[in-house]
Amino acid sequence: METVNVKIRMNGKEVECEAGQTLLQAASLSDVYVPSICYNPQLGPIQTCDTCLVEVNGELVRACNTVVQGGMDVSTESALVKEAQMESMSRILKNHELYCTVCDNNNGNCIVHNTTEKLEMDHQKYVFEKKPYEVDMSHPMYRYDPNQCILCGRCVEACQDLQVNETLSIDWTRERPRVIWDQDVPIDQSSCVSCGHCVNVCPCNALMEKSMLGEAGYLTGIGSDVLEPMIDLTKEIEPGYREIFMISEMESAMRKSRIKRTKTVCTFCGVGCSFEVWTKDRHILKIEPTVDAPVNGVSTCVKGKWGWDFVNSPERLTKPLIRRGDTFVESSWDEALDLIASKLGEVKNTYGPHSIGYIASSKCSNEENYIFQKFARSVMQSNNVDNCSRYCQSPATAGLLRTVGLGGDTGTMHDIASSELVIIVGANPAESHPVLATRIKRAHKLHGQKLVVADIRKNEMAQRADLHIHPKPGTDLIWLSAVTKYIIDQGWQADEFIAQRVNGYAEYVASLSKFTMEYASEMTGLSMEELIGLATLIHESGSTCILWAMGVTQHMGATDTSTAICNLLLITGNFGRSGTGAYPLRGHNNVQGACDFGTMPAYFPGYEFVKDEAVRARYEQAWNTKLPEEPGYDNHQMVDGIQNGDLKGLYLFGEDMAFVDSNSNFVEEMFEKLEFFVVQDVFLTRTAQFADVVLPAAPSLEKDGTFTNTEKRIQRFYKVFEPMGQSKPDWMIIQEVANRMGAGWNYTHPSEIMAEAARLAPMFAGVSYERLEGWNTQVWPVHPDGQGTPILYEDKFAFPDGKARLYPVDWTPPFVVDDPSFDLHLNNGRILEHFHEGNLTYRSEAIKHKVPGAWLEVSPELAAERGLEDGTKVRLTSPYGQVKVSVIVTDRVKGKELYLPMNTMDENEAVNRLTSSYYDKHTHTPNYKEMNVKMEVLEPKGESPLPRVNHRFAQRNPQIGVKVVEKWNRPDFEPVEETIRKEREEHGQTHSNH
Amino acid sequence: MAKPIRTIERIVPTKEEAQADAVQQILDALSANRDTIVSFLGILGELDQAGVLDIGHGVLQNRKSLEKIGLEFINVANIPGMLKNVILVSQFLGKLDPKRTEKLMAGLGKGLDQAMQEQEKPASMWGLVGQFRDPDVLASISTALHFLRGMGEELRTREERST
Repeated sequence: METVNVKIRMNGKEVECEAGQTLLQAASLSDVYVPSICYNPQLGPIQTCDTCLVEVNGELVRACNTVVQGGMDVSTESALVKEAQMESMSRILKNHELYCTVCDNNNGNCIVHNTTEKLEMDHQKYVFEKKPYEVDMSHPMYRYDPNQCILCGRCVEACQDLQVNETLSIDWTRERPRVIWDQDVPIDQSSCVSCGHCVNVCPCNALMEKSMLGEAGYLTGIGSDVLEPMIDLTKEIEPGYREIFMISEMESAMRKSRIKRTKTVCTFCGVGCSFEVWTKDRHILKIEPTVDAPVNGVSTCVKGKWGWDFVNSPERLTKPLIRRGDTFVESSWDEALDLIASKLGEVKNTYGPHSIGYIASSKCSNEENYIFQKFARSVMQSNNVDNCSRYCQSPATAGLLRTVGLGGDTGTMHDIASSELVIIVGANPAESHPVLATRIKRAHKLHGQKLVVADIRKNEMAQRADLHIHPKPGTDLIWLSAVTKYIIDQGWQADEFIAQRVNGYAEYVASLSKFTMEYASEMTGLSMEELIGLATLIHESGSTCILWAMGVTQHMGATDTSTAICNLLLITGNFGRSGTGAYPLRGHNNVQGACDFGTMPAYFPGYEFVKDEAVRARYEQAWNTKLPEEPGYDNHQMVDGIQNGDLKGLYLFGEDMAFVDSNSNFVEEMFEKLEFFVVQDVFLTRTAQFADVVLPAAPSLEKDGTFTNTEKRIQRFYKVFEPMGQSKPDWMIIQEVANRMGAGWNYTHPSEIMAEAARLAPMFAGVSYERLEGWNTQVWPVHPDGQGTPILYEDKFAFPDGKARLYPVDWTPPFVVDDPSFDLHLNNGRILEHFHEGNLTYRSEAIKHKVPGAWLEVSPELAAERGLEDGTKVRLTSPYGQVKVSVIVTDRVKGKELYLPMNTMDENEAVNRLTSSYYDKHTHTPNYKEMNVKMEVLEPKGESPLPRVNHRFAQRNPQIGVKVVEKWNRPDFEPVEETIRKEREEHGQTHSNH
Repeated sequence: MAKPIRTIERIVPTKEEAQADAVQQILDALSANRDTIVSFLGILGELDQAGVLDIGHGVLQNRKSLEKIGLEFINVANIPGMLKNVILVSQFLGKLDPKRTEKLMAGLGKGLDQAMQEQEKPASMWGLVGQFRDPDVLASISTALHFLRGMGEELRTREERST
């Protein structure tokens, strides 16, 4: 896109700016300081603080929302501007007491402090006045102090229009306005989802993390009985702000050596938020995001912002454990490693290399996955290596590989946000990928993006959607194909795109013949109007993105449904340009990276086949050993292998397979049969309980490495703490195990592992730690010069002829228990507050306060029929097992459909006691979403499993932004320029009296 | 059959082991810093003899109540006022141009010298008036008048502002 330049004069100098820029942006680009307290690049102009007033052609205007125009004569330093700045700042300080030296926010990044100082403000014109409100300490994670609140509205803007949870507003109608939550309820009882946006953007100390209070400063731990007189004393003797600031500057400088700030990448989902962790020794002071973070900017969610307490949990494993009889005994590393080497060696020698399985972790780094598959392949001579994407995203990857050629999202979150139409199929990003969901919610709320959700549950995204369709479970392929057929029947297909860039059109069109509107309507339960409406929306949108997750991939026909999604996008030309594409939403922080770096039975790193002789030769030369030729077992086949006696040993790290694999009763039974089982984890997980040796691993905050998010973006994370006790980073442990078995490796830092991977896998040719320094990232494929590929297939698809392939697919009926007494459909998945089963997030008391355990969602219809209410204890039984859970009645689910979240550490509530061992035929991903159960009431009345302080019970308060016009309409509001004009007149009169 | 195990037999060091470990760590640190420690012990001995340790101990033990009393004392003794004056005076001194101060101080010195010299006889009224013709006296008096005018102006505007 070509940019048009305009010329303006700024402070007498000619400045060239891009058309469309604001004066504030133009000033900042030419290093001219214009104060701006309420402005944040991500939130845009809020217009409440008036500190950015500048003079344009003699008039005062706000720099934050004035667009540059050719010939403008701008002054940012005239006497008028200075007066305006002083007036605006004085108004702000009327609402904010400056006690910086004893304030926990005095860390060099307090915007109110810095602006007051920069303006060389010495005294304030208006006396600080307390507001008649108490500090709200009700929420377990943050506090609001109305007395320090300058009413800039950043928090409101972030809550309403960036996070789009629509909880905060400023009540401008009160004598003393303040921020309120919902309809002015205590924060803890509001619809607040604890995402942290408001705290992240607060320019002062009004909204603060409770973990900071009394901890950040040298003097801030003082009790209020001493603190308050001290503040008074400081004010009493205060000679002027500048001297006070010098003292607070010194104190702030002293904090620098005490508070460590380390960049990390979040591990609670696949979005890949990055932020700084602020720590004092092992105490986490706060999570501090920044606009520089490429994925999330200032955004966070409840888990990323507050879910790190597990790192310091006393339950952490700190020494290797060895099974002795019916207990684990702590041992030395030498003892544990010797035992592993001898036992694994014994199994390998006795039963052959194929008798051991290796399960890698989608929570661990790229380097750890790389070194693990290298260990399995080169040292242990086995391709039996897989990771947990087998439980979630393999079908999506397979669908993409069939049609477009690469197994990853085809664009970035920027494309999702800028698309005209977003279709979400079987995914709930508002809870499972919260920060990604905010980008859709914002585009939908502010920028006219259309949103369609296909889900059997009315989740938050469905509630917000322009169109929510509720097909019968497991019938997505039918309606997707019918909509595609309808589009072709109408002649709405992208003819030119198909002709130039797509193969197999004729066969594909022929394969659609059965997917008529009538057939689709009958099979899916959707009306023809809904289907035609959806087809029309796609046709009318200039760009469409389709996002999908476990609602599609955890079915017996999962790969085919994923393929149908890609087919629809190909037919409508929605690949290879901004705002379009296919987005399987990766669930764990490094599902993408684990697959990318080769922990898959058929692929080397970068998706090169192990069967490909040339590729194998490359690795054989580099690793100086022969490598096995045939693809190995995947997770599912490994468990089957135990049953049929092929598999005798298993080495697993960072994966709670006993909990998260389907039909867990069966999986546990198989674990019991293993001759030797090594588990490497941070906690003694359910899986680890079956191990012979458990090795204590260090979580991401205790090591260096890289993760690859759902966009295929590679990001570095840095070590915050030393590993606890004798725990070690996984890559170090794997290297030590390998060396015991004769590997002779000498990696001293993960960067060396990445350098080796980049040398060997063409897909990562230009990846290096130097290029990934700080906030820099690379989106693969990465060319040798370091250039990434944010949008795939702009020129060609990833097949030899560069053309995409339409791939005919047919519907696979979902698994149904052949017994009418199993009369309820069991849906399952994640919730916002806990990560996966909750092994990490239940260690956070504040999160537990919001969600102490799992619950079962039942519809109001079913509740009426069976006499259920919030708290009723029921037993669910499937042919595979049973669970006992308490009920929540909600219209998020309908009729005889149940939703059982997986967030429990209690085996008696775990959904996988109920699921089966059926699977997607192409990828062996279990069909978690296909199960029928029956329900018995155990106790009709009981305590609600979800406390009233959970956001799901509260009423949101949606509005656009902070409503600054209401501020301007207040009778006591006088525009700054008006005040100055009056003052100048008065001043003039005084002088004329002389 | 590998049944799931939930119990961990932790190797908890005995009290003696933990103590021995701690003592060893301390000894290591001591021997690594021998000279510093020895001279520090000397200082500590002196402080103890002087009773400083005793006072310090008392203050630290009662710091919570002392903090409050201290702040009260600060107010009762009007230390804020004093501090403010100190700050204002130092600000005032900071604003003065040292060259001018030097000139003024030199003048003041010379004037004092003259004043201290024995006078011949008490000057008569006319004699005094006659001395106005002396350019040195005139310079001094006009400087004093300018000073008074400046001070008056500032005093008046301050009064206006505070009413």
